[in-house]
Amino acid sequence: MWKSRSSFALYPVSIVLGLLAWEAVAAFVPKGLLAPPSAVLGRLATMTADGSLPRALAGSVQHMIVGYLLAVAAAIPIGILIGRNAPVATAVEPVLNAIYAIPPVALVPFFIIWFGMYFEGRVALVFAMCFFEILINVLQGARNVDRGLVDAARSLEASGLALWRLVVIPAALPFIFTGLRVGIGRAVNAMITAELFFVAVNLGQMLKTRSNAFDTASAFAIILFISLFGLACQEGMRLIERRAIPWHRGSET
Amino acid sequence: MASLEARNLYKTYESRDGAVTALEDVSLKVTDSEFVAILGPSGCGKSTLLRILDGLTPPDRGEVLMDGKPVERPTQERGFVFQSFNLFPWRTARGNIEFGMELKGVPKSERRSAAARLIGLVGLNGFDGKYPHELSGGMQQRVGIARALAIDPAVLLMDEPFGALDAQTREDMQDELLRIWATAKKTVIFVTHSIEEAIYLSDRVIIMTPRPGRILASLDIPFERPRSEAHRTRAEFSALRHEIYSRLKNVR
Ligand SMILES: Nc1ncnc2c1ncn2[C@@H]1O[C@H](COP(=O)(O)OP(=O)(O)O)[C@@H](O)[C@H]1O
Ligand SMILES: [Mg+2]
Repeated sequence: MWKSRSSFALYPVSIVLGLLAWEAVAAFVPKGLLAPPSAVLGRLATMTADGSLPRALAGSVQHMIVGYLLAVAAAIPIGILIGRNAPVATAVEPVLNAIYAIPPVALVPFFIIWFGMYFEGRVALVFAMCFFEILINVLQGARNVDRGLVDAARSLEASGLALWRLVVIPAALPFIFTGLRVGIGRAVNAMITAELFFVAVNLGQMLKTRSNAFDTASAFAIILFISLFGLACQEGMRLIERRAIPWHRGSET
Repeated sequence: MASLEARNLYKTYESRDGAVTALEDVSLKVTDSEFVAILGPSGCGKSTLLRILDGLTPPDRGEVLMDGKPVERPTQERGFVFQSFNLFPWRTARGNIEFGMELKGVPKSERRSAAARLIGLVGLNGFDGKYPHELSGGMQQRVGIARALAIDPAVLLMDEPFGALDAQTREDMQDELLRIWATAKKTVIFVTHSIEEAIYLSDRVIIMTPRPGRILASLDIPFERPRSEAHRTRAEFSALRHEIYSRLKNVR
């Protein structure tokens, strides 16, 4: 209790110290190389107020949400099936690990051939970048279902579908939520990556234009905006998690 | 009237360092409302036997009969209480107790009143809305017992149910169990490796020995009921404890 409170108080202190150091360094380098935080925050405020950042985000989140939801919809059932089936897991896992090791960006040329340079291509990249993160967590959760709980349910005459619905899935929920939370962070990352590697649109296009014009203050403001959005998404997932599985001890902190 | 009978059970597990014979030719018969303890050192096959009696694990050979009908899978005619409680962490005490009734489609209002009655029976009034991690070990096992009783089984199978509890809680729970048993009138098969616990609780003690797991003897416990602390200090009690102790020792 004490520890978490005091480290919570250190949070703003370290942020302020970091910003001050940044401001000091920026005073000594050319403006085009590193903008001071005061300028970045100023740009963030105006670009938010004039609606340009929110408008671009509204465009960006479309492929992010579609790609993320498709990944969730695929990863949860596939992860549970593999996790609960030892022979399948043994056969599939080396393949999964091999695919997992490929940087999804390396697949962009193929995605362009298969899905085009626009919306569908971006969705495919978001999907590829978060599917495996979610899958691996769900798989672990399904595999680690406490055997004792399955025994308890069976002894009360649960079998077949009821066993899945009432034991396996709830028992795997903490891992599933971890997957959803890690996955949404990856989805935000993928959202921008897609806009930089396919045809530049929305936030990605703004970022590219400003960087090319050496307008570092605006470029940093856009990056900061994206990272704040990513943070908000993950905190949102945490909130949902806390409400959905209040019984889970790990979710109390 | 419920009776449970095991006939010539065999069970062998394959492990990395060869086959382990957990049970070899084990037969037993337990009659209605009897409280039987199965006593033996760790690894002698007690859990295996109990799981086979419930239908959780199939035997390699032999059969289990309940009232003459073969047991092939777990049913609500038998309830099981686990050493490690095995409560569903996502369900409250009440939710855990209602699990078996939910499976049978018992209407909600009926479940609620049955659960409330059981919560009272196991002494957990006021804790029905708590999650397992909010309860002490002793309280968790009270929930475990209530959950097993909620399906109204004729036979209650208990696998070292108090083994994970501290000594004081353990003795309290023994008295609680006897009180519950007197009210609910179930046939109980109680696995333990504590000689004293076996004598204190049961009408009959079945002694098992390890490698291979076999039944060595069955001893009637002559003490009248209800039992109380005074029984533990009686001369006959220590005589019995001594006899069982030396029997187990001679095998090793
Ligand atoms: N699932 C299993 N796989 C392999 N060996 C097992 C398994 N369950 C029990 N055994 C072995 O069978 C023997 C009897 O175990 P168990 O029935 O748990 O005994 P007890 O409950 O008396 O301690 C032990 O040697 C144990 O290691
Ligand atoms: Mg055991």
